[in-house]
Amino acid sequence: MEDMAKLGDLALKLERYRANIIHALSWVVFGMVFSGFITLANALVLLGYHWSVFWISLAIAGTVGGYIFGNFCKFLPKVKKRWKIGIPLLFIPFIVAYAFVPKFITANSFYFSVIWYPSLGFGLLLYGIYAERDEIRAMPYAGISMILSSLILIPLSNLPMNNNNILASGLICTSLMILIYFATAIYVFFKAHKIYA
Amino acid sequence: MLNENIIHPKRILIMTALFIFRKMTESELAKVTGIDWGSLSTHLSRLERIGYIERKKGIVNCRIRTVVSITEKGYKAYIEEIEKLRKLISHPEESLQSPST
Repeated sequence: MEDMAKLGDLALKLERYRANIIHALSWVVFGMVFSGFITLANALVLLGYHWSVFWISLAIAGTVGGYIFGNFCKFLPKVKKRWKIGIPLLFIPFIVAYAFVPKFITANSFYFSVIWYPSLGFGLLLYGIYAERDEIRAMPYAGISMILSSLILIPLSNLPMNNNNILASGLICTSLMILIYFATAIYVFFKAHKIYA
Repeated sequence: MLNENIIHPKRILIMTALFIFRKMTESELAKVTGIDWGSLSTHLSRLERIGYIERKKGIVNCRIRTVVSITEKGYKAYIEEIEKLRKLISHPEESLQSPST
């Protein structure tokens, strides 16, 4: 009986540890997918393509990221399916920023090239608050870091609106995102062993 | 009361392996648990009958194999039983009293 309890206990701990490692890994994968597509979009704009490549890149990054995340989730605990509602929450700020806000303000190229960054921050915050209740809370912290670092967009918006400044602002957002994702992945990875909490 | 479908020396090994790996072929399961084929088949049939596992034919490494996977019902039951077992071992008196209270 005691041996069975020990075996089961070990299995439950292993399950939590794996869930934490998957969380840490998913940050790296998401960071790579989003930054890859956004950098590609910037490069295409520099080559003379229309700004709409940003939309297409974001859509592809979201689809690829979502597909990968769905596959990761197969290994997450079967009883916690909060991510199914959490993923739409992640996209709500994007819908608001890209579809609704431009109806009320005059959105220019600068707006469209950087607004994904605070949107992602709010998305992560919403997802994290809803879905990460029992795990290491990484998403809300990453979301808050992104929202706060979005303040850098205020002085950037005062720069002359030329292609270089717009693209540079987009690249600043991309690099901040990669750095925040990197810090979060490292944080979750080193916290992963805390399975007794 | 402990669930005898899980709390059994051999079935707990099968359920633990499937809980960790989610799905395995029957031969992998036999190797990991050290249970002989005849006995493994009997226990798998019992677990399948109560809906804790599923068995499907699938192609693994270019060969047709029987793949065994844990179901959501089995996953939840496993966690529940381990928690009950843990409680029973750490507070045996409480666990014995609880059914009558």
